[in-house]
Amino acid sequence: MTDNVRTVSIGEVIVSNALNDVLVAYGIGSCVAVCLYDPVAKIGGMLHALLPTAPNGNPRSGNPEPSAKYVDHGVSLLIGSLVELGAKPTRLVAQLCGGAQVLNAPGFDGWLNIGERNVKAARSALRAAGLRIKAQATGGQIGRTVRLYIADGRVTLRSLGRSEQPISIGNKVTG
Amino acid sequence: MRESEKQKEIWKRLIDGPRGENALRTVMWRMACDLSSMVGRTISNGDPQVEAVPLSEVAVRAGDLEAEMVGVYLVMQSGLRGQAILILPVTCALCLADLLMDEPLGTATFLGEMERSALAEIGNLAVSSFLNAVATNTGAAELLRPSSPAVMVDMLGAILDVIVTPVAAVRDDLLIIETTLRDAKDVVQARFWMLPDPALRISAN
Repeated sequence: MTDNVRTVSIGEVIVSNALNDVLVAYGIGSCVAVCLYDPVAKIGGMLHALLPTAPNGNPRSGNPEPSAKYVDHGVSLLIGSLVELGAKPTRLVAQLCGGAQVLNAPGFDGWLNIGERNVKAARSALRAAGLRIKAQATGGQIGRTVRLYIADGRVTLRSLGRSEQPISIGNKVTG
Repeated sequence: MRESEKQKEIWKRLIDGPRGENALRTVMWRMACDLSSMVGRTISNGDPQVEAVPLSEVAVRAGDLEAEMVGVYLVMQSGLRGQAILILPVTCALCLADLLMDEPLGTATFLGEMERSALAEIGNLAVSSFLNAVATNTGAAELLRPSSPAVMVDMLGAILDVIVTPVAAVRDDLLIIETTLRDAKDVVQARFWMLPDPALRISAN
């Protein structure tokens, strides 16, 4: 079966139940990729968000219009889209990647701290939705390409000079 | 006139209509000339483009997001506010470092402290030249200097996150003023992006 690669762009949510689909967020830096997968229904999805929280906070407040560029809105949109496709929220397994601090230079120390804030927002949104994070590769100072294989829910990472490898299990923060 | 209105006016004079096109062409040409003097070989610039790119399409517009690239990034927080970035392949960055340090091409094999410092100087000159040319061309008072340059080496996608994030907090597209820079032998191949402060809410015509 040939892989059908689908790019998840910035501020986008893609869900799928096609077993040959591979959802990919290329070269994410401070952005986060939230991957959710229902192993029974074999339905999965990825969110590629770049800002932690929408200005008005609560995504259910109805204002502003939900946007997947925000982690908090994006997680809700991702879960909603997966459920619409037939996934069960109680079976969803979460994996989280990204949130690097790529910009490290004098004068930019901790600039916006956006990567760290994105990761915190993602953890918080997943916790609020009652989802446990099975594995994560967050923080550090380098970009990563994240792949979610719909056939088996595998999430892999690739960074410069390294080949594609599975994300490690557990709540480990890696560079 | 309020400060933000003044800034908006200056940006508009660079991107609006045929007069803006001419002004922008002149500004970018001036920058290419200054870079040529700095590296000791003729660098020419492509026709400047001004485009509002939706966030979801930045990836398509930028190219191979996994490619290893160098980004020389500066922020202009006063004077003319915005962001600027010079994006170039690592091979080209090494050549530029050699040229600047007066070494034969191929001497630099990795981006150490000296090479990064040389690239930072190139970014600094590019943006300073741009600002000076804008000041001259628009009759604006001297525009203040940008931040120190930050040199990033990473996947292109990760570098782009740095410039997209501050814009995305305000709007759903990126107003990109772009020119390409290259020499006759393609030793120098770079893209220069200038992004006006999104809070000014300038749109492309």
